[in-house]
Amino acid sequence: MGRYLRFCWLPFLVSFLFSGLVLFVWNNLVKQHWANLVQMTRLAERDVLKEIKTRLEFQLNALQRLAARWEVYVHLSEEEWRKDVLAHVKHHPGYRSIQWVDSNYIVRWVVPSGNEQVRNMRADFEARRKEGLKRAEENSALYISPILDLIQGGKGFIVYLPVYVNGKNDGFIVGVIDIYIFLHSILGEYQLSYEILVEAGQEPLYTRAANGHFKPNRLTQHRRLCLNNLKWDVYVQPTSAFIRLEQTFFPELILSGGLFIAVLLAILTYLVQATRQSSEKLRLANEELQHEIKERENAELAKDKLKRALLQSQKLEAIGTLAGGIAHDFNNILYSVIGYTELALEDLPRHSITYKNLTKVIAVSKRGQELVTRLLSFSRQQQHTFEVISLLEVITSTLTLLKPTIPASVEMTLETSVEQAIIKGSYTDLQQVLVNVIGNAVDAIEGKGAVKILLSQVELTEELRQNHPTLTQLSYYLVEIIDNGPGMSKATLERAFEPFFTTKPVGKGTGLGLATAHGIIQEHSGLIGIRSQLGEGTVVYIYLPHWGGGK
Amino acid sequence: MSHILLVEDDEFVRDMLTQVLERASHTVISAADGEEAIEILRRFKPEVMITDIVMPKKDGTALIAEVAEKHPQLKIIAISGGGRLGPEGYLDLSEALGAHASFKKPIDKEALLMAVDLLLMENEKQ
Repeated sequence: MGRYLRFCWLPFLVSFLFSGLVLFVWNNLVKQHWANLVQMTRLAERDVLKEIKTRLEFQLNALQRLAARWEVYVHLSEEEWRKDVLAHVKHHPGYRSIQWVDSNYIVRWVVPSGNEQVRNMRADFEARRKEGLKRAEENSALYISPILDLIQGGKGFIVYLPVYVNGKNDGFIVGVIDIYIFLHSILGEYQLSYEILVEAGQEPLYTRAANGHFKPNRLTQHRRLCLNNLKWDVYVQPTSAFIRLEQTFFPELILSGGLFIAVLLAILTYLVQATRQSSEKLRLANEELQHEIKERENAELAKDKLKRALLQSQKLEAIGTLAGGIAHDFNNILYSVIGYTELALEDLPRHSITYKNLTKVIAVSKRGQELVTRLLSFSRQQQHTFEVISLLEVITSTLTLLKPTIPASVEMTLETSVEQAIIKGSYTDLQQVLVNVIGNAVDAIEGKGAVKILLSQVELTEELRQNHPTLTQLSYYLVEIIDNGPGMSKATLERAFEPFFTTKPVGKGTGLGLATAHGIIQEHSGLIGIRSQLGEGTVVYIYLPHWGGGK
Repeated sequence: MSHILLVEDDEFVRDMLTQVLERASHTVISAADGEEAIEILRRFKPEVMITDIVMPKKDGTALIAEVAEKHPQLKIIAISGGGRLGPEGYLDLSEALGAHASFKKPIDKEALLMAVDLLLMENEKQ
């Protein structure tokens, strides 16, 4: 389980990180959307404010122009004034009434009709109205009252404009503006995507909102409009319809898409991991397979080598049996020849040529007998008595033995890296082997040359064992007899150990030397072999088990 | 008068040895194999038997064993050219079985004749 979890941490990490990224982006998108809304609302707010202000100013300017024309009106009748003002009122919605209040603060003229009751009433009946009149008079300038309750209900403000005739105050043009109507005329259809609230103090002047309730939210933008005595708080916020409209599902799309991709990534990562793992497993399996194949191949090779070695020794044994069989008959033949010749000799004069020739016959026949004996010694399964001997001593004594037979042109050297080389074997047999092999080496060199004998100890390496499967001991002594003669051809090399095979001229070699040597070395649980190439000389190598080396 | 039974399968060796022995004034009866030898021993009573070892039908060593038992007074000389074993092997065995002397082929003529004489002398003493 733990291994599984460990395996899973990467996909989780990847999808976690990616999810984080997606969330980050989504969050940013949401924020941005929000910021957009806020910005739009702000702009709308600005516009609303501007609109109100503009209208106000426009209206006030118009009113001021109207007031400025008072001198003209003096010379006109009330009717003319009324006409004018009505036109003004028509063009500028929001007026409850426009009055001419004389310098005694009495309402004289009033439009539109329906407001007759205020005629001849005092315009300063109330504190703020009074204030307004006074101020306007004092400053000789337009004065706007704060928001106050209007006589006929509702809220509004009053604009006081002093008028002059010949430089003398002739009263005031008073505009009573119903704030709701006024604002409604401005904002009724303005920026419909937004809800608007205009407040003075805490009192709502104009509300355009769903269900008539303006509920501020996080998007609400607020500004203060100040004009003269008017201090209005204007709140603007997008309608829920607008918000809904503006709502894109883009962020949500990103979010869900992103999370989906995160999951996909996790799966992908997991798959990649799994693939990598299985491909790694595959690679390992493949490697193992390769290794096994190689081992199998090596085993086959070793087996082949062993088979061939066995075949070779079987051949030699067969030849041995054959030789044994032949030997018996041959001995009989020789015996007959010798016997008859001896009989004949008895009947001949001693000094005759015939007598002499016949003695030669016997001599030659005796050589034949020697040959047979040697042949038999090769073919016999004799258990020679083994003793603990020094291989080095065998070599040195053999060299001493052969010294007289070695020509001066042949340089003979012995190099040893071991002290004694103790082995178990037959001194005479091993000497016979060395005599044969060294003799061959010397014979191979025509004229000037060198024969080098190396003695060393070797451990049985895997490579060695594979090449020579018959070697089973742990350590061996290796004797190498190296000559720089002409070397052997491949054909010769193949038949070197064959009994009766010789490259020497007839009568010079029996062809049994190496065959006998092979048998002897085999009895010693060793190995004898030849490495040779034409033009490169010859190396005869002999492995003999180290005594006391153990298994 | 000495009688020698010669048991040898090789005809040339047989003929040659017969001549050698006859020239040495012995009477030779020859057999080609062990069975013939047994047959001859029923009718004749030689003093010495010279026998080869490796022979068809009855092996020389078997012959020697049988003869040593049945005809204890018969002196036996074993000869051999060897076979799978060297001659020594067979001859050691022969002597163990009852041969009084043994020779490797090709045999030294003088040695053989001397052995025969010695064995005959022993026979006379008995």
